[in-house]
Amino acid sequence: MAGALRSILLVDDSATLRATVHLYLKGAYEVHEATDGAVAVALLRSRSFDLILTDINMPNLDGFGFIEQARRLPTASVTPIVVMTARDAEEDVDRAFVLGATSFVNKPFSKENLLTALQRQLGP
Amino acid sequence: MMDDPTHKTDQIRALFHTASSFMDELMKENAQLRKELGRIEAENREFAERYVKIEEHADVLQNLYVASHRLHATLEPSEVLNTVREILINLVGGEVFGIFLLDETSPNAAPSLLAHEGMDEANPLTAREVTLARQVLTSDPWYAPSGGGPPLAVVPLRVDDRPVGVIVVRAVFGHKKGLGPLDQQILGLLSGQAATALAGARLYAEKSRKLETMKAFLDFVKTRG
Repeated sequence: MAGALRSILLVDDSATLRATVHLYLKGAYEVHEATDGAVAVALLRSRSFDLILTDINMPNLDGFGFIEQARRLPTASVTPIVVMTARDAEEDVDRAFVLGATSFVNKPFSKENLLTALQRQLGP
Repeated sequence: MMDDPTHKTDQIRALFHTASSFMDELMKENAQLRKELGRIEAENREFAERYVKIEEHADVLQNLYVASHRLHATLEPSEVLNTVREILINLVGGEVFGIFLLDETSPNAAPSLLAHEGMDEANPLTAREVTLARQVLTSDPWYAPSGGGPPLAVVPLRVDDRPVGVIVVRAVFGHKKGLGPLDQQILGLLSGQAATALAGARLYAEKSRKLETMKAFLDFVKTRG
């Protein structure tokens, strides 16, 4: 039996970016969306995902706070977390790694860049 | 007769000749097959290149679709403006940019800042950017030559070919080398659609406000009557 699509939790306040990622990943992954870190934490309390793709700058709970809280949840303690960064802020990336991020991808990204970043974590 | 050495030699010669002809044919066939293989390999490479180009084109179309769809997904002026900002950050990779409106009543006045990222609000445009902004109002968008800038792009915002503002992109994120063809296509889309979406949203907001006022007035008249 062909396996079900692997699930990704996409956390970003930008509807434009969410729509773009959705189109890029359509058919390859099952994408679930959260508009900020707080919404994502609430989702993670009820289920797990195969991978989390998160922005840093968000209202309510930013990416750093989200990663920190997610790592304390049993549903996301070992889930790969890929951070989408808008700028080359090394400090941001370093801080995200310290808090538990697994990898990062620079914005704006092409479909190929994004798929490569996800496949590095999940395999082909 | 059977042991006649001349006859045997002739037989061997004939066999050798046949084998040699056969070898020649095989060699020719081999050369033809190699040629065909080379052609198929070249065709394969061409298909692979075409596939990559089609994939790139699909990426472009997807991004343009998202940008266009998002621009017209709301009738709230602040949402439209925020969408333009999001497109510039997330799809173009703009780090420092501004969205400006022209004062149509005084064309020589500096464009007013509507939204921005990383610009000095008191003094958002440099003299060169003001000059370029005026220049693009009657011409095509301006893009810095490769390796040039800032600014990297000055793009007019038009409603029905009427210039109503400009987008100035001064810098993109450090990991980008500049504005590529896809970025220019997205900026071109913004040039044609952002202002229209914004103008439409403003008109709608204005109409809604007027309608509310009218309703309130009619309610007032009814209660008095």
